[in-house]
Amino acid sequence: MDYKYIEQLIERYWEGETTLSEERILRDFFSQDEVPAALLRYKPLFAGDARLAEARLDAAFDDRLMARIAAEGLMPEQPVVVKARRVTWRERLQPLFRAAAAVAIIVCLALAAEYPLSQPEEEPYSCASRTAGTYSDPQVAYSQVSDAKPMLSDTLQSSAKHQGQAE
Amino acid sequence: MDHFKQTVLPLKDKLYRLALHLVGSAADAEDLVQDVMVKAWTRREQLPGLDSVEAYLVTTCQNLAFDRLRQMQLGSQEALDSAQTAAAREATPLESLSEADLQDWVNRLMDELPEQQRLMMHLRGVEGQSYRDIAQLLGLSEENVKIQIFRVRQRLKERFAQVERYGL
Repeated sequence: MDYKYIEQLIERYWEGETTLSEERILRDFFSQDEVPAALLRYKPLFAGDARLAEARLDAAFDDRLMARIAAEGLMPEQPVVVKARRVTWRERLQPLFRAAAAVAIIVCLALAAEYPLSQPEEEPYSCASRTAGTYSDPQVAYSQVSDAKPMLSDTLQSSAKHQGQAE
Repeated sequence: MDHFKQTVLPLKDKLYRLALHLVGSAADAEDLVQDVMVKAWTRREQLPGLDSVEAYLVTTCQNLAFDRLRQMQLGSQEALDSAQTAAAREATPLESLSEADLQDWVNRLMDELPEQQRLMMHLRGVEGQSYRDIAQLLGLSEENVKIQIFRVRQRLKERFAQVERYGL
């Protein structure tokens, strides 16, 4: 490398006349380990820039940034996606069926509980009670009784006969 | 979110280099870039309407870096004491200075520059941007950028000459 050329570049650098590519040459030159003693004082000026130009953030920076944004509550909430679901008539009416079934069960239970309490007390046994209301039509009742009279008479006569034999 | 990923995230390395140039420490620089990105995230709806997202991010990064540096300087009496000690010590001849000493000295020279000139020097020296691109980014004329960079270099030249003559 021609050091005179570098010295000229440095002079042009002070005057603001160097191009970007010439400034890159200066950075590369002063980034070398071995720099002539006469130019060593300029090394920090150019090598410092060259070193800094290589600096990069690591790949996990984006994740750390997003984690911080989320931790600070700055991440917008994800909109909830509502998916339409087809509901059949049977499914729609199911609550109604359930309510009706519940009402029916309650009514049945109430009736079951009510029935023994509301049943009238059984009347004492009597002939009238046994036969009352058998025939609603008096004419029919009369004809029935008339039909039964001979049978009753026969029964009574045979009974008396048996009693007489026994005596 | 897509616009943010396409226009803001690709600039993270450039912002990181600027932050590193301004605050010095890699950890602080990354924190700073995160701060810039979070700020951009909160304004992501307005970003598409900006003339230049890059200009907004670079300016935000620079402002946050200088805010941080001012806070650090206010809170650190130690740094002030150290600077006073350095100023009080005797000058060291140039040939006796180590590369690290020279690097510290150059960094201090850059720190003394006005904010805009410091940004211009970074964009030119580290990012290798043309005068025209720097002018567009900062909303200045190309001529203005050329003149300001020329003044900074002239100042650096004088300081190098002083160190050659009197030491550091």
